[in-house]
Amino acid sequence: MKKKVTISLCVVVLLCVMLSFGSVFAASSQRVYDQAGLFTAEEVTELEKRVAGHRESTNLDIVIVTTDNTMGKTSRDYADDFYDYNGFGVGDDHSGVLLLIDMDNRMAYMSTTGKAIQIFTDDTIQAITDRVASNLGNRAYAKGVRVFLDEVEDCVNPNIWGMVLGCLIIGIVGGAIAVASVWYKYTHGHKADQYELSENSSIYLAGREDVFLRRYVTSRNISSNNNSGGGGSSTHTSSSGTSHGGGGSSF
Amino acid sequence: MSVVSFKCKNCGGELLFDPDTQKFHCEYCDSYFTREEVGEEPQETTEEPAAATETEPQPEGDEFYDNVVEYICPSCGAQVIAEASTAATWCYYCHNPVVLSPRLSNELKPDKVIPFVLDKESAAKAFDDWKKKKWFLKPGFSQEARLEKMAGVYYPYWKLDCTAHGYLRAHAEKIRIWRNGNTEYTETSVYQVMREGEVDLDNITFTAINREDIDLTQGVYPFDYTKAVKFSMAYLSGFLAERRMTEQKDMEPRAQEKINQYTQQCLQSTIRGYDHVHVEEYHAQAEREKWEYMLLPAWVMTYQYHGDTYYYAVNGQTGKVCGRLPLSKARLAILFGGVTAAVAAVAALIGGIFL
Repeated sequence: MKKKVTISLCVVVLLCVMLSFGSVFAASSQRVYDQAGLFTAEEVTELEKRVAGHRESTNLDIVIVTTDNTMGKTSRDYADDFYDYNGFGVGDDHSGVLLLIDMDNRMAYMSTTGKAIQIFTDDTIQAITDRVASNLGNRAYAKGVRVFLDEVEDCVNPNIWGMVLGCLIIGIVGGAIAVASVWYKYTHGHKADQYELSENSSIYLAGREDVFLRRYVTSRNISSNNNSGGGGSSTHTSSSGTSHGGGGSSF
Repeated sequence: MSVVSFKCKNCGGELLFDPDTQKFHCEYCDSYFTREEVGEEPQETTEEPAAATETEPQPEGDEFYDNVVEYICPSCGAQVIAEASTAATWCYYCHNPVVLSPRLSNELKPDKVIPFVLDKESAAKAFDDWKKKKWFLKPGFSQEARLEKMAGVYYPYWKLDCTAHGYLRAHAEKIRIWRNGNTEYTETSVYQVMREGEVDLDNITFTAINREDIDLTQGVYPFDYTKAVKFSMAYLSGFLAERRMTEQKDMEPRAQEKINQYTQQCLQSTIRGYDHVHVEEYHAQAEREKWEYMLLPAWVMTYQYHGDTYYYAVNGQTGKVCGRLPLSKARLAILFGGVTAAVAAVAALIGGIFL
């Protein structure tokens, strides 16, 4: 009897923990938790499918969470706890990333765990969340998630062939310009205007005015959005004692 | 048509202008004469009876006869045909130099001439040196191209010196950028700029022929006009010469265009220290124009190579060469490969840093 009570108590506590995140206890394959109702049903299906694909190719768990109530938590704590208490992650170190679309704090937050901490440096995370946030600001929520997934994929598996092709195309353009300029010089060079203006002209200014009209200053924010590999990954420890990296951008 | 040639005072042979000595040379007795010794006006050795020489072709309207004239060679008496634009040439039969004087007299008389400085060998050498510097030239060209014709030609040009009055108003900006933490500030200072004044433009040159070799006659610019001398027909002796086919008034629209363009460039060159200059108002008016009709020297060469004809011109004064060259596809391919590889490598390097 006592044992039964303990078990049922455990179940209740567990349920409470789950419910405190406002999530229905999900099947293990669910990775898109649209608690804020930002996506249509079709979008959820589509995103689930994409997430599954990227999870396979990156060997990282990928979780998408939206919420409109973090219950007083910061985006960071909410994201880390959601990740930890739902037991996401690949392998012993629970490698994976989580994107939290926090409508409460209006923040796009990315949390990294395990191997993902080293893959995504602080600068990279900033760059990714900046791009996601700019979409969220336009209420393109599903698009923001797609951008996120593509960026994650690019960071884990950089598209080498795409880069090679890009460099090659730039090279070919350079080569073509060189050939065209030589061709032009050899076949049409003698048709150009041969007049040496500076040697054959003199100028006597009668009127000369430089009148200052106005001055204005504009400013812009330079977020470190060049996702350079430089810089490291800073970590913090979440309430469950797990080490996380992460960062976010407001929208 | 009266035809003149210049005769040696010692032996009566034909005199030729010699670019090396800038004197007149008799090939028969090896005498040299200065410009003054030859005389101001040509000794018209063959003042043809008008009736006999004015054999302007009869069948009118025929294109061939419209474009040629017949004359009688003062040396051998042969009837020779010359193109309508020809002013000096050689007799086909006895190969003596002749000048068709009416083509260069009265209102058609050039104001000035720059005598040849380069003789035939120097011109050929200038051309060879030029070719050697052209790495993309087809390697076979130098050996296989057949020189079909090489002639020293005095081409007709209109030269314009003028003064223009110009006014230019522009919107100019100075830009200063600095950073403070994560914020970049851009300060733009806007100015209204005005320039007004006189611009002297010298030596604007127009080709006074209207044929396909017009590009070549322009390609050999510039000439050193300070070496120009008063025109005398004697300088043409031994060379070909073309008479002008376009009049000064035909040049006016193009001249105005050039004056406009150059005056604006001059005024704009005095606007310094700005990052952007946007011209809002500009006008120019030519005030004094001085036109001169000049004959300028060029060596013209025709080459045959793999079934194509290539024309080249060498400035008869400076040795500047121009003309279209056949390109080596293999060498262009090397250039293409090299530049493509280099640019791609740089792109990859930059891309790698940012990845």
